Amino acid sequence: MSGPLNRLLEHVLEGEPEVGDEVDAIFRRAARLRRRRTQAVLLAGVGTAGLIVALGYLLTATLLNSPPATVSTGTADVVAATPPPLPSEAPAPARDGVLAVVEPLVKGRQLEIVPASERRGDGWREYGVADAQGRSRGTIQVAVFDVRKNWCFPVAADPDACARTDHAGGMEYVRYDDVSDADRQVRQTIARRIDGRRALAVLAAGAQNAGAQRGKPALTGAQVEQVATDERVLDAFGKAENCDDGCPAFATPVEGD
Amino acid sequence: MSGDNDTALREFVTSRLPQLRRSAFLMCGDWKMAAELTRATLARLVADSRRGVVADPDVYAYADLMEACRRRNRRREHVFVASPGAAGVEAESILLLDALHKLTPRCRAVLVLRHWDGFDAEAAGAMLDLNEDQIAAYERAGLAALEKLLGESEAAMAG
Repeated sequence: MSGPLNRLLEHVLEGEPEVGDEVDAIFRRAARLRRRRTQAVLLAGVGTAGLIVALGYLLTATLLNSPPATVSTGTADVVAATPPPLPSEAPAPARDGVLAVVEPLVKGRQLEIVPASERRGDGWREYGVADAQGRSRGTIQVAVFDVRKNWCFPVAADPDACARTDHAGGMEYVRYDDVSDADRQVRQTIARRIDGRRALAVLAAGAQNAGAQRGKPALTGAQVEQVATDERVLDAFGKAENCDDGCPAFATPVEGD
Repeated sequence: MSGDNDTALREFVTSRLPQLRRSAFLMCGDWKMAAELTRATLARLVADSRRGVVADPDVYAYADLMEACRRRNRRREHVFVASPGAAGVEAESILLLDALHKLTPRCRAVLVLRHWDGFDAEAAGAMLDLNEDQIAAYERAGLAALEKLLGESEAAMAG
């Protein structure tokens, strides 16, 4: 039937419409198709890159967020493992009580606590701060000290003198700001509950030798004072914690017991 | 065919367009749809040829077109649609198209490629992803069914 079928089919095709300018239309359509494919490839590339960056950030934040594994309680000689960080992309605001107070103030100045820089030990916490471009803006240190009943606030220039205190709520405090050296600007406040046996030191130090602007501490003097006189910060430390061993250096040291 | 050889591509498209469109019409029975499917097939052929991924443009074009017709006809009852400005179509032609569309799409594609486009069994197999034995089997079954359907239609008309 091959021969006859071919001839029969010829008749079926009678009335075929004109081809017209379909060749040009085909080439225009091919060009559109090529553009769409290029856009799809680019979008897929951008999406993949974004996914890789997000996963990288998540993984980095999760892995590097881990604080040192041990906290020595000093006299009791007990070693306690701190709980692992939550696997969350954003820093958990309430993962420690000190950070819960400090972090909003830092963010309010368009700065960030660098999760990987967080360090802690017996009676102390330390947080690295960076600006939006990721450049270091120094550190914030918070520490608690057991002090004698007749302890008084130090005077930098005279080891035997006692500083006059200011009061905020149930706290008394003294500010020790020193921004005279552009390459080492620090703002520090020492506070304690009135007649309490624990002193809290809060220090914000700018990036050292980075110029006057980047050398500015991440918190203002008033904010450092605010953190130091916030009783939640003092309460965020365990009752047995005392920064007497391996404690970070403060611009104005606190002599404890 | 080189991907950046637009002249050769244009010549190919110009020479194959009418025949591809006729084959599409035999597959789908609608000149408008046949023209659209042929345009889409040739546009893909041009785009892919420019990327240098087309080994044999004839195999690519017919394979793509037959697959497009098969997808378009899925779950659809065939309705013959003549060209808008066409004169009256003979009753025999309608009967033949009707019989052709009572075949399975693959059977119809084998008959169109072998008996209208004139490809050998090997080329038709490459276009439909079938081996030569399968092409031969579809062809035999298709011709037999078509002959039977046409016989029944003619008898009905005579009666």
